[in-house]
Amino acid sequence: MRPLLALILGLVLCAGGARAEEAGTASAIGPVLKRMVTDHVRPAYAAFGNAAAGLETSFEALCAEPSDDALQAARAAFRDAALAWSRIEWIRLGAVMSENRLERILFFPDRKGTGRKQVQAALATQDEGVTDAAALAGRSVAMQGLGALELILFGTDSQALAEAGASHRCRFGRAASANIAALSGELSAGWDEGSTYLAMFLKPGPDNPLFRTDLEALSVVLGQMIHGLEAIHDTRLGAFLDREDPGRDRPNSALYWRSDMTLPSVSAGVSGLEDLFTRSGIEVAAQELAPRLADTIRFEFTQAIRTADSLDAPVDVLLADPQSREKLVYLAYAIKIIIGRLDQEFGQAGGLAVGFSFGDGD
Amino acid sequence: MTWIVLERRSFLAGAGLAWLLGLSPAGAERLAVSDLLFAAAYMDPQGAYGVAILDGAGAIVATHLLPGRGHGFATSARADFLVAFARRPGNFAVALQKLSGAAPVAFHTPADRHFYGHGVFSADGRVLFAAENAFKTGEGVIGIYDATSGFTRIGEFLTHGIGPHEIVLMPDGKTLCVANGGIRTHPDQGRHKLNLPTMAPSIALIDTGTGSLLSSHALPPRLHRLSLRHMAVDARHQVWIGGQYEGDMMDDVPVLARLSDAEGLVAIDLPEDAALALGKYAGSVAMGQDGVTLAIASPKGGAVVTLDTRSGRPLRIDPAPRSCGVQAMGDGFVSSSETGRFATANHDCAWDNHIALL
Repeated sequence: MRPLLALILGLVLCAGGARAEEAGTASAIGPVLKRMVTDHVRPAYAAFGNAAAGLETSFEALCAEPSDDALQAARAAFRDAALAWSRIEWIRLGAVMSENRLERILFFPDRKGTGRKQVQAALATQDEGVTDAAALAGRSVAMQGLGALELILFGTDSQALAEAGASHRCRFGRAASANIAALSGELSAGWDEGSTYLAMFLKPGPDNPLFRTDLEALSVVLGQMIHGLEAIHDTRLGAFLDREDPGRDRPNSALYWRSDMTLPSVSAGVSGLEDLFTRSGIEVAAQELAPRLADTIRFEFTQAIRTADSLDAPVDVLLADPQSREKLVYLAYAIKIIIGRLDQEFGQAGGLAVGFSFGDGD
Repeated sequence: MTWIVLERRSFLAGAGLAWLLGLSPAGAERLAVSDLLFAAAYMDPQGAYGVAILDGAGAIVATHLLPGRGHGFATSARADFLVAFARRPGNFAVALQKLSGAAPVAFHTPADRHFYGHGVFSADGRVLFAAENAFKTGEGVIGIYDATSGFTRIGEFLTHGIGPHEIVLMPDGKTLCVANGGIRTHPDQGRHKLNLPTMAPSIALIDTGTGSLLSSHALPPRLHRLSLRHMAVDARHQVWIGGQYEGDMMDDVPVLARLSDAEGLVAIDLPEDAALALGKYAGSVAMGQDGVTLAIASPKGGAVVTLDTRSGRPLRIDPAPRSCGVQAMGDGFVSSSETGRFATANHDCAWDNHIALL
């Protein structure tokens, strides 16, 4: 790809006339895009769909016959759904980018606690507008997804779900789980064979609104990983871990702190991005100039995932212990290392710019 | 354009004395023969950031290191300085002296504000207005800095929107036009966009004397995810606004808008080839010296599109991979890329999103 890039760069803007012919660019990235869809995106959305359906089923059982076992089953199903979402949530392409689907599944960060306030208000007033999935889908994005479900299942008074008489709370949860199950179906459908989006996604070309050249497509796919890792670093670890001062840590600002899923979600997120990296076969782009780079990147992914997995405790406990807090700081550093590798070395070896991404709104 | 040349000469006179101390003989020679000078922020291969002064052929005349990544600039014929702003969420700015050999002035926002990378001088060049984030509340503000006393911050105005980006001074010399991009961010969470479902970009006209809002303009609600960010004003005082779409890339949406007295803010539809070339993402815009030709650069689309602002019709679509910086030069434009291209020259650095004309 580099000679092509050099050729295009050689064109003089003020003297150039017609658009450059970018012939022959659709070959190298095509298989990567296809494998990304078949081996990563579709299976991961399907897994999320299954987990969401499982959560809906467990809510139906809980609402029909409340018991401690049924509540534990619903809580376990929530954890499965949160994990499945964490593995695919950093894909910012396709159906997830329209109709606020991304935020409707998970609205985070929510600095002002909008979701919590809205869920608490709906529970306090026994708002019947939140007990029907279709009606709930039209409400605030902050109160209809995984955030609401976690509050319902793990928040104050959630234990009442195990007893009769919590029917409104249970029906709210059932509607929210049906809502994310429906959303997961829409996400999958967007990547189905025959969908307009998929046809565009697989074929970079001069008339394609997604990307016109191989390099653009490579940059978009790589961008999913880089921006995903940046977001995990900045908004997930950064939500509770203060860079300088342990006194300013905020355990109760962590995502999923109520369900103790904070670190499992971080691990699943990094692991989902590693899955995208490996299964898409994107390493072919850097093969020629940096043949060992992909293995290095995979090794660093593994280190970060292992570190996250070893931090198996509630966030407040992890932060209170200097040793585990040190590990959290290391985890943030390990993620930064992967970002640097992808952004600088991989991007460069693949013909992209050196560690420089315009692609985020400036 | 006589004043540009005169100003350049003055700029050069002071330049070698202070911040251009390291100027090479080759740089000095380029300086002596160039009619136009540009400034652009860069990152070098070692990851160091700076601002470079270049001539029209893209040859580097001088560089000055910055403490972090730069973005846009403020300067004007009457201002004694070229101010380089930090890219968001950076909080520093560096003012380089144009007319004397004095050392650069570095200044920063208050602790609860950061720059958005853009600003503009008042008509007399004595006051600098900078787009800032009051991130505790998320309100956009314009920080006001006194260029005559070391860029002391002397006050602020509200921008009446979230995420102000580029600011231009209208031809009346007293009205600021602010593009409120609409995207809320908080430095604790990097550059993560916090409010996409509810974002509401706007163009605000603000009186420089009082800070009062003269008018605020928005596109129809279906375009609420089109972040309005970069602007250029034509000879008829119409403001051309380049947007960046934060919604579904398959949506059929415009990327360009125009604000005029007669029609207010309207979206401009471009022919399909021009729209495709821009990829729903205008990285920067610039008005030609003729006051008629508008250039829009899209690093995502990999193209620079020029159009005639009288007819709204595209004139050219020039391929320019990963190019974002664009500025008027002669009867055309100069552009730069993150892969090191500036005009027709290639450098071993990544150019940031904007080019200023000195």
